Amino acid sequence: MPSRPYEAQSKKENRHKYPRSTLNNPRQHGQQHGLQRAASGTRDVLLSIPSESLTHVTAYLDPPDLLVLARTCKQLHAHVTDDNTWRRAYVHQYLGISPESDLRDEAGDKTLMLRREESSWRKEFILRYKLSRYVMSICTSEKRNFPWDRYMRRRQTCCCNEVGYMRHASIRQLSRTSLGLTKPNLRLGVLSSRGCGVFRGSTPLQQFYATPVHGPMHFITAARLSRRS
Amino acid sequence: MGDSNRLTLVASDGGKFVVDKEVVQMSVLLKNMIEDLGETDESIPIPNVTSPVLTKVIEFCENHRTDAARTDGPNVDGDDARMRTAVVSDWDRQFFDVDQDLMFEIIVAANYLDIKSLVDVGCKVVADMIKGKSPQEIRDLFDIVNDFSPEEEAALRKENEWANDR
Repeated sequence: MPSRPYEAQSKKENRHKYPRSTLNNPRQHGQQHGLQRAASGTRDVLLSIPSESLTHVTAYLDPPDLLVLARTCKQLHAHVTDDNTWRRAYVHQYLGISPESDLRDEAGDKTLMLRREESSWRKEFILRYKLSRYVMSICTSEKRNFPWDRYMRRRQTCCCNEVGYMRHASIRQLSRTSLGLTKPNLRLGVLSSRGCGVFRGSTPLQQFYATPVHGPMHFITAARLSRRS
Repeated sequence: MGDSNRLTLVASDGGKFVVDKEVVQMSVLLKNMIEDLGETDESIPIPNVTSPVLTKVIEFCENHRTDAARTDGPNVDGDDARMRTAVVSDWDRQFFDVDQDLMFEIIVAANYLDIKSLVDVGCKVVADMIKGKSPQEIRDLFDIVNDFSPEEEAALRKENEWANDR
């Protein structure tokens, strides 16, 4: 069970966000509410909002935008370097958990199951983002022949996606139960992030195209599937 | 104030605003405060918010009073969890078509008053401003001072190279 990163995160959640930067920048905490920028003489309004609001703003951003933001100045770099920023953006965009909700309780359990592959939320978010873009590019292309082999090779483990499983599991009160890549699970079609179940179909490719393209599509691998293509 | 359905809010600079209770309820902070106070004719001071900001906040609440019920159960079965596609309505966009100082003050006030929908919209608008820009464009937009040395900048650019080829 990947419980360690979760515990570390939840502890972090309780602390205030920028213990270090307060030393350099007393403004950050000195003015939680109400702007008194005139006194400090700077114009950077974006940095004058409370850190939780900044986290809220960045929860709407994609990894490329977050990384660009990190390059603007040191304070924003510190914000983007904080893994909590990525976690919030990630769970917000993939699970719809509000940036202001408490991640320690039920939502915490959900997010726990979301992060499986990488050592940080940042890496995890970037990985998923890249994958979903890759899949989207295939979806929208004219190719009738889905390159299953290439996709599977590219990310074997990710084909069994925790988002789908997690939703499935949470609905059935099976949280923390991991479904492995066992034989029954492997004989599957397409699992979308919208669905909580598994779409079985005679032609997975049809299933794939039939599933609405709203979010990233998630697949469950199958030796059978790749042979079919 | 004889009318029990209306309340007076007093901004930090003394400006008075008479508002429907129903509208005020959108602020969790004020809602709790009203519950604690019970029936009262006293006006409620809001020490952290100035008149221009409070005017805007009330304008927003007046406009959104009817959709409070609709947005009450957010994301329960919110299958399309990807909020990134969530669009800001035209009215909201117009509402935030103000100078940046006021925009951020509204967000801070909404945060303080705990008006979730306003915070959401405000943050979304700011995020939309950031999206798809270069670091320099963002600095120009928000008047951010670049405090990186050229070496640090180069290192960061290298680190984030994959993001550039989009």
